[in-house]
Amino acid sequence: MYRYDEFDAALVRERVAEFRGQVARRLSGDLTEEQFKPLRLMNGLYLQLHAYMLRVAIPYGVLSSRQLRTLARIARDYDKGYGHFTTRQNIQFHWPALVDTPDILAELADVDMHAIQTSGNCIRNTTSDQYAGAAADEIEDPRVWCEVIRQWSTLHPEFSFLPRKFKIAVSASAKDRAAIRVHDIGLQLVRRDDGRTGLRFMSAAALGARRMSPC
Amino acid sequence: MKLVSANRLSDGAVIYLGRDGGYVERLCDAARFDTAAAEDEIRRLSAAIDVVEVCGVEVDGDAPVGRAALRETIRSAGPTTRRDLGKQAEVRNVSL
Repeated sequence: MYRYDEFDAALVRERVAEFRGQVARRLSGDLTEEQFKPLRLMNGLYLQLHAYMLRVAIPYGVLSSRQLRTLARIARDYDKGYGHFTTRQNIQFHWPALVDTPDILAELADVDMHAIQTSGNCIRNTTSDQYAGAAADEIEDPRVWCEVIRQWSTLHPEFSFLPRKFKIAVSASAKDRAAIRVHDIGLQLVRRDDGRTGLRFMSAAALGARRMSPC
Repeated sequence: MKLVSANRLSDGAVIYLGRDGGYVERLCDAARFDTAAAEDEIRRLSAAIDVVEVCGVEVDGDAPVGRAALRETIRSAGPTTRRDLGKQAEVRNVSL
């Protein structure tokens, strides 16, 4: 399991503090909904038909016991006792109150979790094979490559407010368990003829804003 | 006739403009307006800081009608996949 370093932890905590201020300004009327919407989306918070929905990243589908217990506590204390695991390695809480979301994000930060880039028109959380690191047929652990992409893309100013969302998935196996062919960019680790690791690159597939011909 | 609806900013809950000008949570308690009056109320409510997504809801009695009928029926009741959640779980007389 990837362990956050002190830079990751500080970034997530600063992000929570920043969002707490943004929520307070929205509730007081200093921010309009038009101004606030892209800010809440960058923190995983949607407004849906019945309530807000908070989407939390579960990097590469791996959870520690401590993290899972925190998710359960959040579901119990701030939501309606359940969460919805998604196909792109997130969990969604469907009934959080806006006023509670800074506290929820702070509890997530305590266990190295966050909702950064789980929504909005940015490069979304990079996903991978759910068996990454343990699959017998993988060339190498794809999560290392995922982490390089995540660290490069997180809050990248050039890619934070794109025209539409942008999704990347990485697989290291011949069998595609990461659905790389339906992502905006799909990366497949392959063994080259010279024995070195190579990358097969696929782009512009169906999860993108507009389906385009593969290239 | 029309109702005026929105989501409450603080928790996202569906609310309606009530007969006394305040907010109510049940569609059956909402004030009814003719089209022109509803447009005035929508404009007025859109300036409020405690609600978002202000809209008009066309109704016949307590039933949403028109092209948004299904959406508004679901908004008034709760998720169709979880009948134990939302207003339908709290209020027994919501018609589905």
